[in-house]
Amino acid sequence: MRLTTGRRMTVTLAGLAAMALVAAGCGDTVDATAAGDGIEITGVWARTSPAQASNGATYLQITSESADRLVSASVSSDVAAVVEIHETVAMDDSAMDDDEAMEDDAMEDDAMEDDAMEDEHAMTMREVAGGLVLPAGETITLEPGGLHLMMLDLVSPLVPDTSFELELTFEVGEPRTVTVEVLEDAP
Amino acid sequence: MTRSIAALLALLVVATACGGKAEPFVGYARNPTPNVADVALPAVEADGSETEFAFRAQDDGILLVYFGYISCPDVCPTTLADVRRAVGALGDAGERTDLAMITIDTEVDTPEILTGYVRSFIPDAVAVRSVDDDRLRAAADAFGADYGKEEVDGEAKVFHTGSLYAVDPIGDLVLTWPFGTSSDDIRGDLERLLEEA
Repeated sequence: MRLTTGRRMTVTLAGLAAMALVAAGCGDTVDATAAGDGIEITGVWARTSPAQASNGATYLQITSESADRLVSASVSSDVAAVVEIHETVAMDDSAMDDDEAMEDDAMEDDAMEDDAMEDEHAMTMREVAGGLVLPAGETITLEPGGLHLMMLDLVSPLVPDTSFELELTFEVGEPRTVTVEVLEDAP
Repeated sequence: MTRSIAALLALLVVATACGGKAEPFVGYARNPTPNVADVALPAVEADGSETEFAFRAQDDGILLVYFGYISCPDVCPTTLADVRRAVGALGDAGERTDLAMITIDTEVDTPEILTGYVRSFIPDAVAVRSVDDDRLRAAADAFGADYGKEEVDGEAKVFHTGSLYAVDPIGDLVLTWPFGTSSDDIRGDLERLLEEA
């Protein structure tokens, strides 16, 4: 690790080590090979959005060498107003309002197989509260039907073969800007 | 001797019935097969004009039916893009496949934006919109689909069944593809359904 604070040799080794810890924690005085950049982001794409759609989604994979958390994401205000970390989830019965919802869900079709019934569960989205946990060394995949970065109030439709910049903010690691390719189908 | 010939014949009949189509569909068929021929809802045009649309495929065709909404950024465009891909890959046979998207969010999805949205995926798709929720609910029930809005932390959350349905010319709901079925699998199933149609 190379410190960039300009301290001289008078600093003791112990002090240097302590500073290194602090620097890693703050993520603002480490160089490109250090903790803040132990985050790999790949497969970044967003699906094209029809002109009528106000929302869009970006997908990617993140691997962080050390435990971290994706706190937030943002795009330029000429792309979309807000980006939220979302997850598409199946509604379970407890998420249903009450018996009324259950009643609506009831099938006249007793003969339906159990696994088919599972498939019939309605889906909804929820914001990932407190950010997306990135366990050390584990690849977290944001993909259709699961985790995604929801872009609200798109300024203009996302059209094929264009791209935009997306900034990702981490709890520990340095903020990262990645280029999002707009594609009709998953790469 | 006659008995063994009869048995052999019976075997042959069974083998013929089962043979050649040994591979199961990727989508699932329900038992008994629901029939949605009596379900009809308003199909809208961008100018707001309405015609009653019955959920039956054209002769020798397959009608794909999807319940969704336009503000849905993940599930709906994923499935509709998969439909576009699957139908595109069918070539000429794709002409015998139609798509009807039923909005479950009539407050936001006006006729103009609904038609524009669904036709950005399939140019001649049918945009279905019923402001009468009882009719919409009855139609969803016929398909075994659910939808609604619920309040979570002061925010209205929309939920809906993400399945894609295949209906034949007599209104039988012949196959259901759960969300996440690949466009290749949908195309494969559609090819077989169209061959048999």
